[in-house]
Amino acid sequence: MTVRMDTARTRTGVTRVVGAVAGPVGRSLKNFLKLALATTAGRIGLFIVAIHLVMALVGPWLAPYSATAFNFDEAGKVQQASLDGSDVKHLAANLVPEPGYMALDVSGGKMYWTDSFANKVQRANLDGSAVEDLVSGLSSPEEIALDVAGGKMYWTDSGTDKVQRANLDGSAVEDLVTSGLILPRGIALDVAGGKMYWTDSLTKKVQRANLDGSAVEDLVSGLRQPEGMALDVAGGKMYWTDSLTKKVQRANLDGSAVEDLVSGLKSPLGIALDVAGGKMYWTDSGTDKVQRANLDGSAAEDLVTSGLTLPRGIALDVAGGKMYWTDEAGLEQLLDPSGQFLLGTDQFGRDLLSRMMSGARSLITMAVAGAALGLALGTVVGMSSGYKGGIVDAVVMRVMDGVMSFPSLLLALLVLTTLGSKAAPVEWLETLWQELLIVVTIGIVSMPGVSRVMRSVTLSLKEMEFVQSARLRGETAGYIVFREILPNVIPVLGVEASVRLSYSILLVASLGFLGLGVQPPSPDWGMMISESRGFLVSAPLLALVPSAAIVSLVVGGNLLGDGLRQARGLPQKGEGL
Amino acid sequence: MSRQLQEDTPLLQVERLGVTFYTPRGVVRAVREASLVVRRGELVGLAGESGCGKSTTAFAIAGYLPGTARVDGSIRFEDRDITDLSASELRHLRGNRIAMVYQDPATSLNPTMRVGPQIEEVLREHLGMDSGQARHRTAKLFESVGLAEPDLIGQRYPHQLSGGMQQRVVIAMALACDPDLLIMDEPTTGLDVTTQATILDLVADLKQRVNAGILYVSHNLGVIARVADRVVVMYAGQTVEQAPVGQLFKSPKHPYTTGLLDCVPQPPTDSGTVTRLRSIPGTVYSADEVGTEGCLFAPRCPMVQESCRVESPQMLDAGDDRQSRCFFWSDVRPEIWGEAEPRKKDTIQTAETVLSATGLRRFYGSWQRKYLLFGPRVRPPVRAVTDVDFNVGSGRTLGIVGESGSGKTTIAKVVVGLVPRDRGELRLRDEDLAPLVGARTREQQAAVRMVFQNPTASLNPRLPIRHAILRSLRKFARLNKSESRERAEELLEAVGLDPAYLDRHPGQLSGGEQQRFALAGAFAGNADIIAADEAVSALDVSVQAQVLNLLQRHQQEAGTSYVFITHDLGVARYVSDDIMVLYAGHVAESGPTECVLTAPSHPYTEALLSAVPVPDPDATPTRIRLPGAVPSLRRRFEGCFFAGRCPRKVGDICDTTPPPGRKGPDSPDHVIYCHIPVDELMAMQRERVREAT
Repeated sequence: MTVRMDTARTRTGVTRVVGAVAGPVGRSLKNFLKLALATTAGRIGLFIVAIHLVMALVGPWLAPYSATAFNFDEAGKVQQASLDGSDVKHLAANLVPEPGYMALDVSGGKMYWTDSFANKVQRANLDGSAVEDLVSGLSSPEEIALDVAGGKMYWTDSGTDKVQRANLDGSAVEDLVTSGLILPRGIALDVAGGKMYWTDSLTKKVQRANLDGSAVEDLVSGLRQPEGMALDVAGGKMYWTDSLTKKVQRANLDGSAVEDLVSGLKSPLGIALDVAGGKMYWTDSGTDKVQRANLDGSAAEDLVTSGLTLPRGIALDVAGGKMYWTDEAGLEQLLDPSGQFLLGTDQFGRDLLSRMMSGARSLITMAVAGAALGLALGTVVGMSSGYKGGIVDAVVMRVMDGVMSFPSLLLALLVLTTLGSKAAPVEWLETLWQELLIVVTIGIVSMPGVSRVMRSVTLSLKEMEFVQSARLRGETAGYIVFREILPNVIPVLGVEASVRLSYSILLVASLGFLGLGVQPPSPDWGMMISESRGFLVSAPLLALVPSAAIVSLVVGGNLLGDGLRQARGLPQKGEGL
Repeated sequence: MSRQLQEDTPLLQVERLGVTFYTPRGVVRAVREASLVVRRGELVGLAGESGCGKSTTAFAIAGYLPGTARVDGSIRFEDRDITDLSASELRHLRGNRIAMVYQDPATSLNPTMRVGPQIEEVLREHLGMDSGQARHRTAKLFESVGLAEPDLIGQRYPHQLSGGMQQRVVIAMALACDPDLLIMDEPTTGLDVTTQATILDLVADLKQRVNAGILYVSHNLGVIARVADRVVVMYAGQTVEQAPVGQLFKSPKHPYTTGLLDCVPQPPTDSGTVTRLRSIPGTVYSADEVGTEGCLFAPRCPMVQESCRVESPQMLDAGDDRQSRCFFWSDVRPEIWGEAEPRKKDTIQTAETVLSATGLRRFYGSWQRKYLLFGPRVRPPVRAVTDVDFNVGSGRTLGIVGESGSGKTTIAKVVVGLVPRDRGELRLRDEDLAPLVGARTREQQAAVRMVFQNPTASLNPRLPIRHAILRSLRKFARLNKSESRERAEELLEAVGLDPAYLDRHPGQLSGGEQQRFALAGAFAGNADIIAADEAVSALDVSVQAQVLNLLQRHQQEAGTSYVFITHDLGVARYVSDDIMVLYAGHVAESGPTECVLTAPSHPYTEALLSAVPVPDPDATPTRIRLPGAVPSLRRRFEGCFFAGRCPRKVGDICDTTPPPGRKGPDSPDHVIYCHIPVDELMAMQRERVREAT
């Protein structure tokens, strides 16, 4: 007896609440499925929409690759060769994606390099073994220079715009120069003179300072885009490359007597000097070559011309007769579909399939939320206005006409550009602010259409005798509208929902296309189409795939709507209307 | 084809016709086994309740069935089987030999074409006439269907014609090619009684003039009795009885036919007693049921035997050129549905007044100006109800009778407060009733309830039917959840419904069940007065009788008063203690039922009475026919509201002075609004009856 009492009590508790909610929801879901599956159009539409919904829910986890990560054909490498370019060896391959400039400590048997992708400073033995991270968590380290005697390494960081140094083992990191820099890049040391020299490719200057960062002075200005640099202290010269003028240049150490040494290059980056041999060596990431010339620029020759993708840093071991250089990994850009990338890759080497699958989420979420908001607003406004009638109805509907007369995209642009540039009113909304604005805009834009339909249905339903009979019971207007009439407009609402959903999908996609959707690099179908415009001829899939995704979603939604409409049109057994 | 053959073979011979529709929701056997014969020059009436396959049979004969239908059996037109014809042969046959007239004339005519050219088109297409000949012939056709000024009529658009004139045009179109077979599918059902009478006259007249067979489909036995030579009765897709019209109505040989006749309210006998209506229990055998084990009428038949449930009867010969689908046709007597007992009616004569209305007025719309808000007033409001007075005594029924547009429904809505009154006073006992229901007290709302015409529309199709009744009980009887459920079950039992129905949706109930449920809802608040607006008009006769008897029983038990609105005089006569005859928003006559419906009466009442078709082929049609149509309600009547159509118009006084209310001779409550003094009216009407007999 007690046991039965207990079960009874449980049932009145949680179970009852769950049952009360799950019952109607399950029933309407079942009813919906029954209707959707009744016709061919409905079946096809449901299938397409279901695929999209699955994508929206678990797309990012199902995707074979990350939607935002760049894919590389091979990892970056550090290579070695004889000074004449022969005998090329891989030293540290598959270690780092984007090794930058490098420097050698021949006596310590170590080579040092920065990695501007992993944002680290690393070193290894000269044969490439024992790779170790020295400093990590940097923003975008560029060139590195060593003061072996002083046990220090110096580097520039173009992300934090600093010149920094640390001990050779990576300890005791300190900032040397922190102001006046925009994009510091090359760096070279005159240890004996107590000076460091660096280039800044945005202020377009060559500057120097004491080794502790004090006494910053401009040496050369008015360059175009100086990159790596090297010093011939004995000769009193400094050398640098300029990737925009495509030259190797030099000047006296005080910045005077700037002269062009080699021109007609493509994108020279790293530079290293063999003062004793009277040669300078540089990398050209535009032509993918390692080249050298006499210090005065004469007798330029190619040393390494093949097997390179983006050579950057270069360092010399003159005594050992070897040169070392770094070579960046290549992006898998604009590839055709293959077994690895089923739909190919985009211009940043991102997997198109993964981006498409992950892109479903933002678009579908925003479209569904916007359409739902529009339906809710439109239903309440339309039904209330239609039921109330008279002056209220006339005024409300004229306002709706007014809203409707705005082209929806224009209104969305207006809202997003005025409100989207402002900060969210509360901090926790910040991440959702843009999305929220889009949803609200779609809601407002689709409200008038919905309210018109709902109003007309209500107008005919309110003359029905069951509504009059409810009035005779003395029911309130709110009760009649939402309890008596609302259940009867649900079929119409369902059809309207499929139409509104299509519109809002197109609207979200258009906003994405115009760059007002989610922010890159998050994938978004509209944005993907817009970004791929430049590659329409060379890589048509890039635009076709997201377009097809949008089209199939809209067509699927419409088919589903048509199917429901058809199924509704058939006389239903055991159910009126 | 020789003349001889033509006379021997019937014009149309339908043998064991079956029509099955294959729909996505299942198989519908609309017609199971229909056999009938139409001879040249004969009018065959096809009768039965709705859903019995009458119209489908007619459509099958005309070859108008959709592709989803399968037709079994044979339909022989002269010597050819229509079911075997190709589409083009069928088209030729339909155009030249078989013509059809549908129920709704408004949809049979193209609303964007003048009616004359619509007929000329038919003539040119099928008879190859040139336009001059066609116009001439059209005018003659219009004349032959009784349209005055045939040349002018042809220039009008359908919406410029009244319903009766539209139906005449449609009939003219059907006669255009001189058809051999004319199929008329409920041609008068959408029309008012007085208009129906004139169309029936036309049909009866056509029968004499045209050498064609006519198949006339109608659910109204009175109409069938008026026009048919022979009658075929259908039930559940089967023809169940076939007999000459006189014999069928006098001594039906199938229990269903007998039952149908018992369901129709009959005029009182000479002694003044009204026979109690007997109803057929149950509902029509559903067309969704595929099996036909045994007689389909067995579940409702009062004389059913074991053998009826096992074996299906065929059409059996019942002598005198008649057939019956009943094994026991020879035992069929009128008494099988119960003795013809007089209706018990102990009317309280000295009743206290429950509801009184004085000077009730309701106009729809307001004056419209030429330029929206400015300019002269160009369009007056519709004067739906103009200064109507009436009283309803407790436990009594006031019948309000009139044609469509006479203001009956408006009165009901004003009484219950769905529509505000413009003027006048409405009192429930001593209390004044507010114009709108929302402004009335809870007690007043409970006291005045309404039953609507369309039972399907009066229940919310998306909610279980318990919803409405439980809300009423909680609001008016202030019951809690379980009490109101209990009470609702009692109410359902009282109207003869299974209490388990409470959880069903309206779509799962038949029309009769829905209307009985609506009655239960109206009874829920112990109402003092119930306004029933055409409450039985949408129901089949067998169900109509159930509902009428139910209303009457409730009145006797609870003493509720009714305002019973109907266009059917027979029904009004059966249920009402008092009758008010309305015409164009004005009261023509009011008083106790027997006084109003016997001489002396208002000329309009007189015309109305003579127009009602009675299910008795021997009844002498007293021919008073009203010319024209109901006048525009936007105009104020200078004189008598009925002057424009009155057959007894006395002179200018009718056009200039509103008629006085004259007291009838038998009862002080009997008032006739007419310029003719009461005794003169009585004399005139006695004279007319004598002439007719």
